[in-house]
Amino acid sequence: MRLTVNPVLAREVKERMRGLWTFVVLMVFLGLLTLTVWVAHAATRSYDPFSFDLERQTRLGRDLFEWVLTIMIVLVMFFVPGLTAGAVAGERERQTLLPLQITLLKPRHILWGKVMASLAFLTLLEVASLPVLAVAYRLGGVTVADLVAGLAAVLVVGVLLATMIVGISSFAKRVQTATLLAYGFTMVVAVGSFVVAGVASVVDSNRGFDPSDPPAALLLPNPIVFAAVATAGENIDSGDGPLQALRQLVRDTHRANGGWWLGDGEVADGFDPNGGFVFVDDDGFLVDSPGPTTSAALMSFGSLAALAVALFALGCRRLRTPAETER
Amino acid sequence: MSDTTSTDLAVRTAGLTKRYGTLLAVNDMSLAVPTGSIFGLIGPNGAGKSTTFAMLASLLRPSSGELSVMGVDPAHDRDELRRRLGYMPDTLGVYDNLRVVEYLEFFAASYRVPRHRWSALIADLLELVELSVKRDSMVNSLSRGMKQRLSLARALVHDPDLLVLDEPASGLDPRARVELRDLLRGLNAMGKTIIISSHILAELEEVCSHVAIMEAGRLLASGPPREILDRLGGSRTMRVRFADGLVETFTVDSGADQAHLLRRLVIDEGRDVVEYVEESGGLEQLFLTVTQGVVQ
Repeated sequence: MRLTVNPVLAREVKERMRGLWTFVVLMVFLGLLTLTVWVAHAATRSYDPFSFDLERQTRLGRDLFEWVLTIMIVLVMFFVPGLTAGAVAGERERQTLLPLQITLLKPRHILWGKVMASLAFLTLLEVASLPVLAVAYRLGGVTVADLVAGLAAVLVVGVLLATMIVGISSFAKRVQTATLLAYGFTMVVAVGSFVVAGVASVVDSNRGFDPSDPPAALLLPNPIVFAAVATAGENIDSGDGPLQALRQLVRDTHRANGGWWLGDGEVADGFDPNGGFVFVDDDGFLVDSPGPTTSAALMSFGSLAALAVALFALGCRRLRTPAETER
Repeated sequence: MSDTTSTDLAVRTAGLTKRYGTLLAVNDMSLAVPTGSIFGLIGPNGAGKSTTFAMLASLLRPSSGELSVMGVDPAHDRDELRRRLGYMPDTLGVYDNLRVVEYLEFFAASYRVPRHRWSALIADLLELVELSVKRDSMVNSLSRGMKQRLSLARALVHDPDLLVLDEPASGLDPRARVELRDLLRGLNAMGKTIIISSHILAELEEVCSHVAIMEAGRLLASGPPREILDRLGGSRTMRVRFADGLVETFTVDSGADQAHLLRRLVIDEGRDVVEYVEESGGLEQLFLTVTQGVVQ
């Protein structure tokens, strides 16, 4: 069986690389990442040129890595809506959608080609940012596995977001409308889970004392939370990176609730003589002290992927022909 | 509708209707497009021409009625239809950041034309539409007429049997329209059936073997222009040139009267007739006779 490149992917990549916008985005992306490294390094370096603290340096490397990852995710969540909002709305505006729909390409081929074009561009951004990440790796505290996990997390966030927005773009008649919808949707996805969890917590505390707390799973359908739990690494409890605060929040919420869903509120099951508390989950299995980040990452990914698949499917349905009305 | 078999018909509709709420965009249309014809669909703005074309091209689902395009039901066998139909909408959308050759390669890939055939196919298409010199130019550098020709080339990239062209001459200068007309005749000579809509009746008159006239979603008349005129009893103007150089025009009411006039001039009056032709404007006259000027 011969592999063929999706024609929409090939065309989108070609067009994108010929536009000035691509290079502007690349420049801004790398510029901001480099600035992040410089600021983080300047803020945490030791001013004593004769002292060398290995633990401090590895913590610096870890923090730097987290800061760079965080900025990468924020930039991806800023650029992806702008780059993908016009995926279908732009075709409609340019009046190129009809000739495309009349070919043998099915709606899922058209939309998938656009998602893959976003993936290609994100991969370019990540490869270009490797030298910046190498600074953190060189300082220590970051393994190759951490780097791979971090880059994979950013890529997954970008692709899932692009998939959602390509689906949304199928419903907009104009690029301007699609862009507004895309950024609005991204805002909801970025902060929505925190808002819902916060409201649930307020409602729960106002109800007075009861053994159950809002489900910790409310926090998980969030791309930034996903990136945090997916890049937990080995030194989960160390560092002052921005993602660490999120991991702490997820872990504490999970523990306070005794699980991801509605638990009985037990905080701890015993005391470990070696230090710290011992935690047991609902099935009676010992929970590692760093917290169940693997299950958190899987659940977070699952919820975001489900949303992406749903929006993608709706977008395909919107483009299906013959249609009832002119699209 | 003439009594023809389904294999003689490229398009057959029976009671085809498209409704948008209370608006009947296409109302109970029964059409027969003979295979191998150049079929003109005439009508004012809002007559339902583009909606009809969209249904033929499987882009829109009819509200009711039967539709068969080259023996295929567009709603059920869409891929087979699209392999055999080339559609040129009335819009000129192109991808600005592509070269002409890349634009055609993209659509060749989208129609699953084998890659090893692309080079020769695209060279032939560009020669056919007279855009060979623009092969490596960016599409956004083309004039409107060139974009129209490129759009036609796109519709031909998979060698369809049926071409559906919605206002292909729109916005073209006179020379470009003449070139397009010649191109359509050439394509028809290759065996392609062409359905074309236009407001420019004189253009259609030059190329169309059959026409259909629509107004307010309804099909008012269909068939060869001469037959429609005869059926409706429409008058026509005959231009007669005599051997002494004199040119006169006569108005006749039907094809039979045409023959009577010629007999009268030659036999009864003994005049030396060297040329006896019907003047252009027949389609325009037909259109004005058939339609009522209703817009919806």
